[in-house]
Amino acid sequence: MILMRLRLHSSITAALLCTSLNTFSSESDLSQGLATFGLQQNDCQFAGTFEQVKQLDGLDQGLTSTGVFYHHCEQGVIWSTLTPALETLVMRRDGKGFVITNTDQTQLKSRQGKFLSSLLNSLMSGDQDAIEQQFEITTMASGAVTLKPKKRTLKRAIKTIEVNKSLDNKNVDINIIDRNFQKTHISSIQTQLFDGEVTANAIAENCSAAMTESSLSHAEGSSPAKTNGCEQLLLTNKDSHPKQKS
Amino acid sequence: MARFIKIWQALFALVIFATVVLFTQQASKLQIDTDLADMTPATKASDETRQATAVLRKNIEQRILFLITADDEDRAFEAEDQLRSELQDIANIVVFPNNDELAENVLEGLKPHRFSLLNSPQQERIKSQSADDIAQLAQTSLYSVNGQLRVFSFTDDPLAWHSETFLSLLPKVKVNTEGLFTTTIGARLEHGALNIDAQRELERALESSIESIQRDFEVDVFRSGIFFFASDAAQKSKQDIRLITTGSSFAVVLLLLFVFRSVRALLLPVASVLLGVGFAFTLTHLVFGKVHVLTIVFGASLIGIVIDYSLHYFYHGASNNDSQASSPSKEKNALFNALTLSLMTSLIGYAALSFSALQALQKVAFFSCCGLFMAWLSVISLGDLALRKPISVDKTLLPKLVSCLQKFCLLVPTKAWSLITLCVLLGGAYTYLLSQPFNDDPRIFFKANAELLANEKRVAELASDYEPGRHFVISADNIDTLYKRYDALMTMVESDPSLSTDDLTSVLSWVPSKLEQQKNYLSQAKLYQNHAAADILANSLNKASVVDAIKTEYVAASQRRLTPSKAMSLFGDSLPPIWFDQDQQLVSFVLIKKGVTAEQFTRQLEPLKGIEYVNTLKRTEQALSAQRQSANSLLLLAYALVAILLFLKMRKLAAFGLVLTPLCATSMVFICATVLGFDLNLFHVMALFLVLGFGMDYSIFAYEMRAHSNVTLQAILLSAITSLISFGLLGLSSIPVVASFGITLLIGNSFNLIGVIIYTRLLNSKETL
Repeated sequence: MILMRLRLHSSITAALLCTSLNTFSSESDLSQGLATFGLQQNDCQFAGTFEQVKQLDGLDQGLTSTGVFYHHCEQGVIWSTLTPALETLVMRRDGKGFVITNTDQTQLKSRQGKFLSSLLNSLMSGDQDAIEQQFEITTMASGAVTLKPKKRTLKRAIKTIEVNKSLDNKNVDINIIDRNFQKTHISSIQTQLFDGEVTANAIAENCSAAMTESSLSHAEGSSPAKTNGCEQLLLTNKDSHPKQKS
Repeated sequence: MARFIKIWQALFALVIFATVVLFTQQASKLQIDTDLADMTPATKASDETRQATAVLRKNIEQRILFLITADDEDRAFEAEDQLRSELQDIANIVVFPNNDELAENVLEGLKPHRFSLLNSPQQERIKSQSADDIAQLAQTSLYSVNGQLRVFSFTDDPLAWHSETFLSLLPKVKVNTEGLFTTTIGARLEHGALNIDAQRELERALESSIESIQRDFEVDVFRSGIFFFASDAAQKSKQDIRLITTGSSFAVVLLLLFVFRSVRALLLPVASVLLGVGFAFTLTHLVFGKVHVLTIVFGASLIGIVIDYSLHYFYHGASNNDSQASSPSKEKNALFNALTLSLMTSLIGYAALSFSALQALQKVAFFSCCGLFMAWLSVISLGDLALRKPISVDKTLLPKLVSCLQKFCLLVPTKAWSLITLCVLLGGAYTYLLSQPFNDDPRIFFKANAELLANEKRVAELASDYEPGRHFVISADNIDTLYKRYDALMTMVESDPSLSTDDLTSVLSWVPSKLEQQKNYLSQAKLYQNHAAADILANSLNKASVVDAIKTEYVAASQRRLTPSKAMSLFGDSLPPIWFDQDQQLVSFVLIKKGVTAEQFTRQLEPLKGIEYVNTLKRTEQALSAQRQSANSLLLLAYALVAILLFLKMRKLAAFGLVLTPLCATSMVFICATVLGFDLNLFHVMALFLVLGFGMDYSIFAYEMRAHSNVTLQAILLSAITSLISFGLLGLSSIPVVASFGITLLIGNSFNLIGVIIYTRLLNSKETL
């Protein structure tokens, strides 16, 4: 149960970030005060950059990491941290997940891993019904949207999630407060939008283009084709790497 | 004689008065016990482990577990919350903390000892990696979405090593292949719940809660625990008591009314039964603090025995009036001698039960001896009063039956009976020594409710990892020796191809030895001494001082070591007491995973001191077998004592002839078991003591009252019929232990009756000669 709590904290961070980038462009009926956090996705393929500041209990300064991400509504999402350490998380729509570092690649096999993959993709694809199954959505007068977990397992990890957007809709701030009142702050900027590109090659190119900065091909001993996560994201029936991780 | 009776009457009045006073004093505190442990003999545990085993057994008997299953996780958790809340409102039950709360308490308690603890992979890594490597990996983990999970704050665990250690100690989640979500609630009973009324109330409250939870949350709730079986057994016993008491009483009353044709004739038998059972109950409760339900069931069957005294008194009193005997006082002396001898032989028979190691049988022995004595005293004191107005006796049915039975005996020549007797005795000896129709498997004694067994099975499938009845026990008088013995056991396990150290668990596998903790502490210098991994990490974060506190704490913890006692105390009641530490005696129970057999170790462990393999079922079977064999010896002793008593009283060799009736009846029980194909157990053998008592009763009256053999035989026949009714009903009991008693007495007493009729025939032939 402790395991569940802590894994959920990290991955919901990623999920919420990507959701926010395209959701505030859709309806959000503040005047009626309805809980209509616009989860509807207008776009299928998009990419951007992020900065995450993690506040750990006992450490005054935050831990800052930066990176890039890519989303495809049918394939899934790639979340790639570039600084201070290289690491890429690939979460597919079919529920499979991978973690790629510059020396290693492992598949997430745990029940928690599969659950997180499903949750992440629901958020990013704008499946509002699925989100409302997991969270109570409240829109504040200030325009900030609060998500409170409904399920007990989520409640163990997360206390509340608050989402704020800038007036020009380009910047989104997310604050995640966990059960121990530790905060994680995420700032994101959408930088690329790919629409109308439906062929497999085009998708692969878009993904690679988005993940160019995350390419680990310059790292020692690594293969360029496998290191940016696009191949894992776009695979259908086979695992790309035999190593298992629970 | 008259003065003698007056003395007894005075004693009778005194005893009645004392009984009433005692009963009144205890009336508000009456306790009927249903503890099944009374029916299990103490097993052959070593001296060192006996106390620890007793503590563990008692603890397990008081534990209950609820298992909730659902196809939706949240419904399972909501049901758990609701059930937990309802259980906390029920009296006599203490609910254990939920897993989250327990985990938090355990982690908090283990935190001060984290510098002495490392898991095996960590011990390897700390040797092979440099401080720089360790710091680099810790930094990567800090930022990673897939980094090491933390259970402590950064200041308490900057490198996340202790989080890794403690998370590796947590039990792995049991994988459920049915797609079900499961959650459990553990609880223990408070002592008051073992009282039969409190038990019933508690079970009703639990049933009601479970039903409402299942209905409201659409979940399944299963329960596990010895309490449920004990409660079920108690309810069955109560039904048995009603059946046996009602059935016995009704049948016996009808029979007596038919024979004596007068309600007045019931007064003395009823009075002797009520006074006998009442006195026995009061005294048993006074001495033992409670009366076991098994005692009450057997007590109900005392009706068949105590009735005998009244019957003989009426029959011989009535025959005196009828026949105008020339010497009524001589007849009365003979009757009194017979009654007294009968009492004494029955007391010897029942008293022998007290030598059993089974508490339940000791209580039955005490209860029965008290009841018999009081019934005898009642008859002696009140018999003359009852016969002030003459009582007539039926002269149709019983005399005809006696006549038929006697004619049957005439079919066989007198001398042939000696040969038949010899054959019966030899046949009995043969079956006992060679056929050995015995079964000491303890499972035959517990006919458990099918629904309860199904619940237990389901809980075991989904929530239980370890064998409940098999484990290793390691003992020593100091902790270092204990760990050495544990290591020796693990070494032996590792060398066995069919076993793995992962198949066993104990507190010694979670808590390293002092020496190993010392090594772990010293190796963590690579993490916490100056300029080590923690410093390197802190510097990389530009926060050099953030690790000062943990470095100081590391130095202060140099002598702090975790002990098994401390580790167990963190779990409170949630874990059974698999660690025992008292009076310089240390005992650790090593649990075995389900499905793993370790029987092959029994022989290999012999040279190792302080390590035992325990198979509870086998041990209980061995204990029951030992008890049965000792009971056989005690039975022979009882026969010898009775024979000596009779010889001393009668000063004739004929005294030994009186013992033949019950001895042949006992032989016939063994022969019937072999011929009819049922196995005898300890409780069959215990019932043979009563067969001795009855048989002596009949033989003594047949001998002492041989001048009126017809009348005596009628009384004996009536007595036998009432006994057969009482014990026949016992044979129908749903409790296997009680049924064993009943069947033995049904067969044994039937042959007692046949035997005494033949004996009377032989006596009459001798007299004629």
